[in-house]
Amino acid sequence: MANGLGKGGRKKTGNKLTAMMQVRNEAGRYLEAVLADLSGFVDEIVIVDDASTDDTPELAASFEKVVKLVRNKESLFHKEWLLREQLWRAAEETSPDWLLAVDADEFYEEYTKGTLRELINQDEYDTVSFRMYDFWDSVTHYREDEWWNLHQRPMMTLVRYLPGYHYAYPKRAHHATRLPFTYSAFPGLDTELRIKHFGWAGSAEERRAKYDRYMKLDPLGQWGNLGHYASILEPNPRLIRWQERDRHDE
Amino acid sequence: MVIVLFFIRSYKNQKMKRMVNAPMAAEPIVVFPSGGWHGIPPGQRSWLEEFARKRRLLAVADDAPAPIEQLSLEQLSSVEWTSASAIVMHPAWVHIAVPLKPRCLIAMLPPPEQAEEALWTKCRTWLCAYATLVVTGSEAFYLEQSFRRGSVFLMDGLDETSDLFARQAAEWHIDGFESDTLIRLQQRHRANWRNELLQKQEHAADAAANGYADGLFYHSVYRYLIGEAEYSRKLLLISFEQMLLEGRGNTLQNVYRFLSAIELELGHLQDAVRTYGYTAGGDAEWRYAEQLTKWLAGGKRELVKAQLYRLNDDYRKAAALLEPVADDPEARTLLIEIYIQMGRLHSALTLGEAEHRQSAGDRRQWQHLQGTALLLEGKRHEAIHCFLSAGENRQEDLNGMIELAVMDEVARELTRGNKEAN
Repeated sequence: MANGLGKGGRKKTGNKLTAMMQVRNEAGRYLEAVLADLSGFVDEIVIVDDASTDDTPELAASFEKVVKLVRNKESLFHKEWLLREQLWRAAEETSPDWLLAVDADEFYEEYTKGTLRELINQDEYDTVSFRMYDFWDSVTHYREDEWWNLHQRPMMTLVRYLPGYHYAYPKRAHHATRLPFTYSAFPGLDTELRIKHFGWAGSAEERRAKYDRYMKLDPLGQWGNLGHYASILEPNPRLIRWQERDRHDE
Repeated sequence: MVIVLFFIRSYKNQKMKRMVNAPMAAEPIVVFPSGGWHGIPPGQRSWLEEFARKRRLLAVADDAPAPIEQLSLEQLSSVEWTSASAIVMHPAWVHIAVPLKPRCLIAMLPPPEQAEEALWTKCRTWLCAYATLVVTGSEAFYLEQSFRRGSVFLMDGLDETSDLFARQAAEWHIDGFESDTLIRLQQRHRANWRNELLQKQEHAADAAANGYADGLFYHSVYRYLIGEAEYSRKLLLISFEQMLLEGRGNTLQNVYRFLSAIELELGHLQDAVRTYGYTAGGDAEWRYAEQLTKWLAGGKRELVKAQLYRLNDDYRKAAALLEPVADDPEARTLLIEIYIQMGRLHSALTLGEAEHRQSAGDRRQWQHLQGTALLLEGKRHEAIHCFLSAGENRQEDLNGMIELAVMDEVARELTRGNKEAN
């Protein structure tokens, strides 16, 4: 286009990449490592702290790339879609070009990080999906079975921000989508690029505590699958050793 | 219903101006059916038979019952068309009915078939463009026509009051009255009817199966038509969300794009251009998006608005914006395209010149248009000459001639009873 923009006014070069994240009591877990990691490959970070009672907000604020930190006095955890909307609005206020929706226990594979600029500096598609691997019991193995196979299908975590577009979240109390579902209307790119999810990589006691929390929040399986919840306690899940990929593997 | 009837009658008595002064009963009504008299859908047939009790009714059908007078194709020229009304019920009549220049021409067409032949789609467009009044049983076609012209009514049998407006409009036109007030009444009534239907569907378990999302979209279009842009916007966005949740495809182009027309109505021109850009797909649409951005940057706001209305199929608003600025070459070019899409061939030809067509293909296409316009003026021989000269030695360019032969044949079949044309 005459003004240097691409198809439909989309920016093809120099796009800013903003990570956005909602957190609650993450100070003693992976948050510091995740923020340090993100600081190495994104331009800005936006965080909503959902009424943490530990040092999470202070930890988040200590990172230079955290350009916006919203602190809730009262938790919205039981109305997760509202929390997602709040994070979205906070991110919008920073004039992003592309948004990467990250959880406080997710790490992008080195190879994936290396492709991100290429993925956002184009005008062909507006969403990018990755493969999310659930690490289990350690940071060396991921789980793969009937209930744990998220990595076998694409998961959208990276989207172009289109000012003025209609963004909406489904009103789900729990397990709300991390990005507005109205992005599904746009052309997207499904990749085999990988994300490591360490949410289940801790001890058996931690997993048991998560299971108990799910059962308390959703005892009838209204927002999730009861079989899936039960599989958290599986004593001998199928685990596969993680092999880090580099450019030469392509 | 009683209130509506009262309103219609009193309004007509007090305010309407008769367009032509002539004794009503003496003015004949000629029906061009869609497969003999008995091929007319029962609801419309009984309504026409009502007419026959108080007026002189003729039908170009070999099975019309008394007191309806049968009329052959050859006898058409014997009718005093300056006082006659024509009710045309199939697109294939266009080249016969339009040149007769009846005082009132009502297109009362069946809904387009799923995969209607291109020829009938063209004939339908031309017929509706030249008609005094359009009445249709298809809501989608009704809305399409409402974006192209005034005096369009829906008569789909789903809503008695709505049908009453359509019948009344037809009678008023036959009597020489205008129907603008009725159009607004029907649109508003239909919007409220849609709203009530949606409220019933909202809590139904199988809302998706019942077309809830489509109903929201239709309701949004009605609100747009009656000038309630903000309400229209809200409905459109809910419809869009619902369709995405149902996993529908092409929602950006088919649904979300309409937001750009609504944004124009709200006076948000830049938003409208941006919205169109988000929904553009494919080279042609990206070029439109780029052109809109350039025009906007160059201050050509009327062109931007007109093009956006056109890209949302609202040809009527687009043409209204361009007509006062048709001296500008870009505006004129756009207006010609819009007139062609509206089926207003004569208007298009008045504005354009064949020699301005850049490619040989464009010039041939222009000659086709000239030929069709001549045909609709009743200049059949000149039209044939035009089709032949467009074709020259290229067989594929003789389509105008082939189509004319098909139209002649189908029109003849449409006069015959107990036989479905097509």
